[in-house]
Amino acid sequence: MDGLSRDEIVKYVEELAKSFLVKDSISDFMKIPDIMGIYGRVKNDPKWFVAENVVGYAAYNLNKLRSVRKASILLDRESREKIEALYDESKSKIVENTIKAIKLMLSSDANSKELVEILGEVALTSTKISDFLSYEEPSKILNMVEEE
Amino acid sequence: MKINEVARRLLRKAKTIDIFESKAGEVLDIIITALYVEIQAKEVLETEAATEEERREAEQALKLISEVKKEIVKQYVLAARLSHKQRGARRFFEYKVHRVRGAK
Repeated sequence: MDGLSRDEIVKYVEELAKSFLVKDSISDFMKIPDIMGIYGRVKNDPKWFVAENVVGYAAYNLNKLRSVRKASILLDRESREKIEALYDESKSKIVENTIKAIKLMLSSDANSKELVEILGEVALTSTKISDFLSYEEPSKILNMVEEE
Repeated sequence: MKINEVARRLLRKAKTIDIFESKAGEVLDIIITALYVEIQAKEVLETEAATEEERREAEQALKLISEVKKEIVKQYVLAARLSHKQRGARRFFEYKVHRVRGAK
């Protein structure tokens, strides 16, 4: 990882994000927090660990929402539409801000206030998903899916 | 969602979160969102064009965020006191504190 240039890291992360956005490959997106953790360890820079955890937890919540979405046929039309809208909106917001955070952290003029604002958007989106998943119907579906 | 409402939800989460059982990301989500709301609220208060209602919401959000911060610290202190009851828990706790310290 240390051997890659900043541009190469951004390019690689953007490819992973694109794979998630286009092919819905969440496993590719989940590689991004891992990369952040590795980079943080190599550079011994704590801000990367914070980002790793915030983005990692967002990916974890997105994955759960994705499972509920897959089984959403069990829900009424209104709930299905709500899940679709939440999934699409969350997905693009999390990806967009994750890339922004990485670019900011790689730049020499990284500003902690700006980083908090970007990661705050990710954390807020992640919280919205976990709130939604705690509702009765989605949580019932999630339990059923996870038991299988 | 209004910032005071986000702050109220955060406080509810901070009060109910189980530091031992939760993921590091879950705790950090509360901390980062709290800092984010704090920035937003301060910006509203610095904006001359902000309405009375927006100012009131921002002030309320700041008070709630202060409570959120105190609650998170309290949770960590309680977790530290309880740690002797759980084998390996202290090490786990220290790991999380290390992560949270990274947020500074």
